Amino acid sequence: MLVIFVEGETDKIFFKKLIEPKLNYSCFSYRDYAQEGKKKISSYLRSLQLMKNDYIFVSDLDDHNDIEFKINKLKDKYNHIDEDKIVMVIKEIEGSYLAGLTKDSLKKRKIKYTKNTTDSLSKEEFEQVCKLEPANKTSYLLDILEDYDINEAMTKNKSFNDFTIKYNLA
Amino acid sequence: MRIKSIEVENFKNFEHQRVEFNDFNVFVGANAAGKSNFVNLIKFFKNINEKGFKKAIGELGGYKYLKNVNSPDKPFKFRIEFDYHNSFRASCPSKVEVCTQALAYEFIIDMKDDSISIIDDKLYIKGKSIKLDFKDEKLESNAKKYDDFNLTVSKVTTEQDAKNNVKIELEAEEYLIDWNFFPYRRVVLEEPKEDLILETTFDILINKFEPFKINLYDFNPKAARECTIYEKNTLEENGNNLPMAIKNILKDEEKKKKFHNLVSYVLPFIESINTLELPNDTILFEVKEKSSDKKFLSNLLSDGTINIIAIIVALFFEDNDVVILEEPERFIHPSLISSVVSLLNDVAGAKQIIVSTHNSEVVRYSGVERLLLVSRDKTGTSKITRPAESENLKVFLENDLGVADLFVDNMLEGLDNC
Repeated sequence: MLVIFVEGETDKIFFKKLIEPKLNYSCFSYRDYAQEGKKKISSYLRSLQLMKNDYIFVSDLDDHNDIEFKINKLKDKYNHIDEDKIVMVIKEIEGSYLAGLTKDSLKKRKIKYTKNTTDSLSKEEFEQVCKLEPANKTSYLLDILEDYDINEAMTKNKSFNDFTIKYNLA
Repeated sequence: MRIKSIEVENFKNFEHQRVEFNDFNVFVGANAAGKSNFVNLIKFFKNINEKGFKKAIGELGGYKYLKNVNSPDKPFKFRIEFDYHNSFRASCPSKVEVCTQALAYEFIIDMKDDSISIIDDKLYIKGKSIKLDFKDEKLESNAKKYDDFNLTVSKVTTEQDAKNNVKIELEAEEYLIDWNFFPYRRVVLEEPKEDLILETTFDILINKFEPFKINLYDFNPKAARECTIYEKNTLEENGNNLPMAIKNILKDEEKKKKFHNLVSYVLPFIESINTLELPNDTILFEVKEKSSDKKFLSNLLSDGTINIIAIIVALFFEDNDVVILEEPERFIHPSLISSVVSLLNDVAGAKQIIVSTHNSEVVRYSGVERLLLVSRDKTGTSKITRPAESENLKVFLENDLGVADLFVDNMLEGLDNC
């Protein structure tokens, strides 16, 4: 079993729909750690270590520029977290979504995004660039993942590239 | 259109209560706390408008059970306010643009023995208007000076007005009064004495604008598995025409894709859904699973699966401004509830969502700022509070106790009272 600790539903959609089918585990479980107390999450992490079960801890870098600083913050908060299991997303998961759209897919969706990296894309910029309508985000994200090109995403998003190499997804 | 507030006096277990609504509202509380009673006030408002006052009272349990038991001699008061943004242009005789901003409706009624008397009955519409000239119509971005207007429609209860008992008062500029939508500055119309404005005059005025699109859903998965092909396409309150609503979605390729994406996200084992019409005019839907080529008819699906599909239809494919869901978590495994709440959250940007629940997972994933706690005191009187406003709750949260834990331990109610 692989337990994936996510910060919210946008992370969960990404991992459930795109990453899960590419990983070789018999079952998956998701914990939305932002909704739980730190003691509870620490207990989960400790139990997983003792059971020798695998996990991934997904965290956005947000506006912190220093990955090490953010990792240390997480280590201070959650006693039993293993640094090697932390997947740091630069800067928010929305950047990983947009990175996987090729020129044709961007054109199909009438998205005007010409930069060759999505590393600095915030959630708000993503919503603006995609002209996201209210009540449509979940459906829109799922639709992006239908057309997702992993190789394209690796070239446009550093954290996605690192993750793909580490977990041998490409 | 959004419900801004509801205020009620002497209604069932509420002595006096006013609730301000946001985009996403979650009524929580123990069993019999009064959650459904309060949420059903919105249905009551809708029912008065669509079915008439007497039937609406009947659906609330009848006159006998309408008033608060602790104060049977006091009248029943009801007030609902909407953010009501509509605009349109007309040109008879002047070219005008009318933009509504707010609408409020209130009544006070008393019931003694078998008779009912309307003590007060008023409708207010507030907005802005402008007289257009040709240049204005061409150059819409130009700064315009709008004029305020206030429309009040009230029931006249004095004896001399007994026959002509609806009064319309309009405070507006002359050009608006000239126009045939607001043909009078001050007029009294003849109407049947027993009816509320909401049943009669209300329609005459409101139908000029967009109608109210309020839908309350209380799904019964057992009844939602099949229906006849003669059922309507828009989803019924208990979901009993779900196959027809799905059929309607699947007609449109774009909607079909969106529907399958959303369903397979929350229920990953589902690849696609199709409808199936039988020779006896029954319609069902069938689900194709990802893991095999097998298809399962809707009458073999679990209640939770049916409930989730019905929620997706109601949220994303029905034409409504306000969606009220009674216990949306019913029959759904706790691990899927976060996805369902995420869908509610997603939709709350475009539609107003009102949920009634006593499920801790819904409480956890909705977030404390959305919660409206319904609780009863020793006398049986209910009250509604916002736990997010409690200083004591902040202490618990700072000490790593989640709002869902406090809810399960029944500690939300006692935060500021015990």
